[in-house]
Amino acid sequence: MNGPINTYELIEKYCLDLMDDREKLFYEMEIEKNPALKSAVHEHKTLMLSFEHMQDRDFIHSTLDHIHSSSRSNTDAVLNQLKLHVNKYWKTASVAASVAFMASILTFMVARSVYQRDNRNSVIQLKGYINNIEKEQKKINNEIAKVKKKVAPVPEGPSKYTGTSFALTQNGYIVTNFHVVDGYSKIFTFTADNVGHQTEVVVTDAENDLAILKITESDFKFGAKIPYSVKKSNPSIAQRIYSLGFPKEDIVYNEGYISSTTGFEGDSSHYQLELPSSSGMSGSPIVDESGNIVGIISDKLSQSEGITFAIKSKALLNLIKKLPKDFNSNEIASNQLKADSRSTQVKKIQPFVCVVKVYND
Amino acid sequence: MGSNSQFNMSDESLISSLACGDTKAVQYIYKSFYPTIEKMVFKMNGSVDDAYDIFQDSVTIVYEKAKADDLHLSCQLSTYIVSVAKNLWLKKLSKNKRQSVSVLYDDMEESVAVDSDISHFHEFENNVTKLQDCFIKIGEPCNTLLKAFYVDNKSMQEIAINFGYTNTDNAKTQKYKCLNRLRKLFFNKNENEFLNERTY
Repeated sequence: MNGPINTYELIEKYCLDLMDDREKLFYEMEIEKNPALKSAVHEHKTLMLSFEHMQDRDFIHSTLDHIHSSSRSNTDAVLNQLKLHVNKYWKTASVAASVAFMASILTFMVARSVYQRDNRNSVIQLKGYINNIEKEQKKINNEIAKVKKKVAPVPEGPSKYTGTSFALTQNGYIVTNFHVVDGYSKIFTFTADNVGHQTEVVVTDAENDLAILKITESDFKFGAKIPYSVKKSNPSIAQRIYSLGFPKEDIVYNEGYISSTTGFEGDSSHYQLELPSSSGMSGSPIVDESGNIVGIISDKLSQSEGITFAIKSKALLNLIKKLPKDFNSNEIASNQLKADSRSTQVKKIQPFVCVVKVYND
Repeated sequence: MGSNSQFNMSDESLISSLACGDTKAVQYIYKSFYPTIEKMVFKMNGSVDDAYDIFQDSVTIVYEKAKADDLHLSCQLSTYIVSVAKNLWLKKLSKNKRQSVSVLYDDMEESVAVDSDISHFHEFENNVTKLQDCFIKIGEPCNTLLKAFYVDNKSMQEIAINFGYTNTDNAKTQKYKCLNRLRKLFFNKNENEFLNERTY
């Protein structure tokens, strides 16, 4: 990862004009030699300009909103201005009256019409004032929303236990093993970008070792639609499958096949898989060749290498039925990976596979 | 309309304090020019909201040009800002296919050519719209992280603390990943572009 990051840090340094003359000269020579770099620099500049514009307009908008609303709410000032206008025109009228009575009436009428126009203006201004109250209110609501979404900090120190989980909906429903979260309330889900999100248990099925969790941030969203589906029917023996899980900090891909359609000691809710697995992979999705989720890793035979047990996806679908109404099961009903090569499938699934870490209270 | 205020500021000093982001300058501009522009937009079939929107855009244009030291006026600032507002409003009207208003407000005193400034502004605005769209698409935490760094000017240390990263390097890596995703979305790129290669 260091290569591209360094490249990009240099681009940023160059665009911010933080290079000394010598460095800049060399860098510009390099840019001329390398068209890919040249276009990267150009793109970065465009993005930075857009950011800057966003910043500028935010500054002007918020400053003006403040001035605009306080000037509109200052009704005294508006009234004073109105009085000032009236006085001015009355004075004109009285001067005119001393010259000729007719003229004074005329002037009076002119003054009156001006006064009326001012009145009309103040009505419009009042309307603006109400609009501004609405705007202010919206702003306050936004602030409240911001405070609400204040993210709980990830606890210091090492986690007690880690497992793997994967997304069921874009708004943060995920599934893992019951034994991963059993007895813990401090649960954090680390998405592919390595950011921890506070998570709560929504519904569990201890018998089948399943737990459906929800990331609590109200505005949390996975970056894309769920690409895979959870399969209703059971796959047959010998079918090839693969898994994605977190036995270490980085995601690990493994492949194998279904060696038996029952689990440990004939447990019909499980499969037996010929698939390497290790701790931390509890909760990993088992995916078939066309990108359907067919199971979830639960445990392995401690004495043997390569034998892993997985919960059948049907148990997951049964548990989903117990979820609240805001859970949209359509999201995992269609599979968009059928036509993709294995590596593309994995690349698309990867963002939806997360680490679950539990901490002591 | 400078007469509205108790004291008069020269255009030059106004522009230079605006360039520094002085809110007093923005306030002065509001007091001096907003009533004129509001009246103008009213006359050209606009509402209070329209007038205020147009005014905000006009001040943004003036602010950005002032900041870039690019506001070399051959006329008074008031003439410039009114011309900008008028043109912005005309553009908006023609876009909305409302009635032609050229007849409605041909008695504009004096105006100056502002076309290129306005088209630059619209280009920026389009980019910002696109950017905001991409921000939604990249989701959290990238959205907040990138805005914290590039829009709110937070330091990487602050970001590392706020987002629960163990150190600044992790936060930097994350920022890079996020920016890269944003870049791909913004420029409609496929994944695995050249930046993933290590050829330079």
